[in-house]
Amino acid sequence: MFRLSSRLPFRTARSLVLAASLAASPALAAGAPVPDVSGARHLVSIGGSVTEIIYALGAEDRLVARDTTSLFPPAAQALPDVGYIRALSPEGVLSTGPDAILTLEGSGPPEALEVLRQAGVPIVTVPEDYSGEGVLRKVEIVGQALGLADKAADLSASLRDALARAEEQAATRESDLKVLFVLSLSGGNVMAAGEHTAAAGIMKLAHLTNAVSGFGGYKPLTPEAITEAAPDVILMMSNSGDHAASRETVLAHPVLGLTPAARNNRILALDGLYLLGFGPRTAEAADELSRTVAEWAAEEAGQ
Amino acid sequence: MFHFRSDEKAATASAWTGDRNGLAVRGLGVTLGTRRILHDISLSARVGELTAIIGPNGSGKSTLLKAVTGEHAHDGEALLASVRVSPDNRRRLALMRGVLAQHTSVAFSLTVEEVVRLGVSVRGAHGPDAAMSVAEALEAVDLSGFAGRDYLKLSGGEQQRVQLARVLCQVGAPVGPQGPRWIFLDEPVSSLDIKHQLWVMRFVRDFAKRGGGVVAVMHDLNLTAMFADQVVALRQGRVHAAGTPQEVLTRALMSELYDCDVPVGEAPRDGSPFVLPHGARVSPGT
Amino acid sequence: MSLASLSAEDAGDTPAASSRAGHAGAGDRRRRARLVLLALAGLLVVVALASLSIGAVGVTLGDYLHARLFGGEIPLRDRLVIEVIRLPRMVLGMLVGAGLAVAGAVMQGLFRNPLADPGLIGVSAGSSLGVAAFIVLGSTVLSPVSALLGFHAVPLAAFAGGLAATFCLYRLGQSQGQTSIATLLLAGIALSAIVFACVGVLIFMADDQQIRDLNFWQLGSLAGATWEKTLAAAPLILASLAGARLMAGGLNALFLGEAAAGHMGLDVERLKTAAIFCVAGAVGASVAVAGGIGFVGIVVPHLLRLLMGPDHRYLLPGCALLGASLLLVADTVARVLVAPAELPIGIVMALVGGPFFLWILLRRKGLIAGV
Repeated sequence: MFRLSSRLPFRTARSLVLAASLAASPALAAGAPVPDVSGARHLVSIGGSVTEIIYALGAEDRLVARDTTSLFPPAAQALPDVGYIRALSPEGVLSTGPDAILTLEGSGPPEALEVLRQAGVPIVTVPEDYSGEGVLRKVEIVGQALGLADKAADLSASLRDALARAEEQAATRESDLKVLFVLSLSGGNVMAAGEHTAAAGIMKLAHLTNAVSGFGGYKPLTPEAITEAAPDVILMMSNSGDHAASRETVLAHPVLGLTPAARNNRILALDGLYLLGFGPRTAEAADELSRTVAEWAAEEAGQ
Repeated sequence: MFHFRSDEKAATASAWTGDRNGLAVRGLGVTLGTRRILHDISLSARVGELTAIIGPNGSGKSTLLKAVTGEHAHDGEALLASVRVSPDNRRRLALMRGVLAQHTSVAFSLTVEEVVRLGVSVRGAHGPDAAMSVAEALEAVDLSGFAGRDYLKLSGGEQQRVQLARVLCQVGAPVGPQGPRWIFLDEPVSSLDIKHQLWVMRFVRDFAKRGGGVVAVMHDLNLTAMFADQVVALRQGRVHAAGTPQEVLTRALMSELYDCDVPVGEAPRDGSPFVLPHGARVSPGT
Repeated sequence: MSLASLSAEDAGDTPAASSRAGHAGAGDRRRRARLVLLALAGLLVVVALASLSIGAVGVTLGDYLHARLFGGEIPLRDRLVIEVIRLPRMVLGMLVGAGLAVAGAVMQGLFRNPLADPGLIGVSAGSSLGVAAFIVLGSTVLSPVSALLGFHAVPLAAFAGGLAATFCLYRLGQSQGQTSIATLLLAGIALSAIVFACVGVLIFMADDQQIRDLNFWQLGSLAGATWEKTLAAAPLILASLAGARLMAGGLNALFLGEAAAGHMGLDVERLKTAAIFCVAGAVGASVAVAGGIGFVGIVVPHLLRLLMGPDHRYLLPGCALLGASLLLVADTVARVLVAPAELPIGIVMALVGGPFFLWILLRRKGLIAGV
């Protein structure tokens, strides 16, 4: 009986499917030795950005399975899905016959990883950090583990360039438009990104101003807080299933609908993994973000 | 006035400590929450007799029964066959006496036999001290053939008789190897038809005549007059009168007890009292 | 199903039992109960063996036994799948299923209500709070503790939280040495509200990943089964099962209510205390190792009461057997249906249990005839 009510507080939680997967807590002690699994021919990749990097390194022929959050490139979706990044099933993972597993920091549950270790499968943990440096570090570690250090160095160098260029560009486009990242609108509740989130990380890369501050993580905003924040741009994910807020639901929302962003139809919906994944496409995402906002800023100035 | 202090009576009839098999209550009081329900109750009940407890609504009859069966905590003293009525002696008491409540609710869908068998389980079905069999007990309450019926689908009167059968199984014979056994009944016949009122009252009186002890809270004064050997009348939580039915069931005492005019006649056959409400004058406020 | 279909020809063990045609005597039900227990034991064996043979990896128990007993070839990984993954998972599943079902039956016997749930004594609420506290604060305020306990922190927190809440509730429900079931029930509702409010505060503080973890924990899973966990939970659950079996006679007496049970010589207070802590132990340990798995505690006892009657001497062992089987089946489905991923077992149970629960309610309202 209470079980029914006990689920209530968690209902909100279910709206966080994709973003949660992309938002592992930053920092993992750097410098821990990276297991060498260069001989592994059968890899399971856990974590969207890790999978993207493996593809970017041209090692995709070694992949035998991926997790639910590994959606890019589209070819990855043809691989068997071993479940959500934080709810892996040890036997499910084993059944794909891996001889090494690459996991993004925060994969789990810990017991499942422990069982996999007991079963003799080496596990490489790739740290998560919502910054350009974080992306490069991921590439470096994945490359090192797979024995593709040279390729990784090349990729890293070109990503470093791209990131630097994107940031440079973004710096020149700086405007005073305030951006609100809306994670979900389930039940009319506006879940917005505060500090220490992937959304905050990409906004920082794109030199954008978060319309809300003073809290960490994703939190529901009160109508008053939204009105007070008065965002000029609303940023969303375009692909997180039914929890995603569509442009229409934002426009129809009683409070969001009244924000400058909605009035001027400045709603930007980008692919979640592209926007928040902190993988090889991050520079591109940051550039697109800053460019779009800059265009709107110019529009605003022209009015 | 006809006020017996029951301990006086006990002292004359059988010495207070002398009746080792009886129920002896001295200075018993019960407080429920902040309300004092019973005050300084003293009485005795003997084996071989049916002792009826009567009194108006709220006089404390059921509370008294619950106190002497250990359901309510009490002060003062209550001994059943020299065993103190207290939670510590619950197991010993359960082997000495059965209790039929005014109403017993049964959770889950049990058959009649399963309900009655719960009484058997107290004493065990085998051995020298074995309980009455389920079939015998059902026969005793005129429910032969009901064993497989769903208890919850029986009428109220039938359910009450099933519960009595269950109590009989717990108690077994009126006299066991360890001495006489007791039955405590709270309004055992109030939901029964007249046939079964007489059936059950005859059975329990017979139980007493065969050497057991019976204490029953009674509402029906005529059945009380017919079957009781001793009557204890309670009023406002105190013993108002105690004695034989002839001594207690008088117009004067009854009118005082129930606070209204209760005409009492004499039954033509045996001269026992009977109450005839037809001529009663009820005057609220007196 | 109809108990009346058992005719009196099956002769009860008393003349009275067989004297009324068309109705089953208690003797019939007892005989039937023994048969049902036997069948359930058989079912459990089959289900257990099947759960060892079925999984995302293609190895079967037959392969394994052949290799181990007759020296056949088996890849190390397949051997490990049986020994390190499926076997502890099977044992844990049986323990959890048996524990939850028996705990449900004991609660229902104690509350004299077929819809009573172990959640009523606060154990689920307390566990949720313990788990939420560790998941959310484990890396900050509680970091010394979680560093010490590693990933045992969450199971232990669930257990401690469950037991603490039950103990609080038990004290609240007691006055003058008596435990009032009604007070317990109401205090349970209030305590659960408070506890879930605290969980709500923690959720507000949580980052989304922590919320996600909590969510998965709430849905329950045996995916984290390890021998370590299994061996940690086993003594508690087994002790609770044994304790429950010892209470069977007392719970039967409670059919008639506390007063009548007391008159029949039962120490009702002791029974209540023992039952509450037995349930808290079994449920606390189950929830700790497998998260929130609902409905086993209601569905299994109810089904068995229909099959064999409410006598706890048969009902409790039956619940242990059927609860274990049901959980193993649910777990096998959960891990096969979307392999190589797996569903939370709580979802599978709720998908089975939810409609069944509704069916019970509708039947009680008389909307569904028969049975």
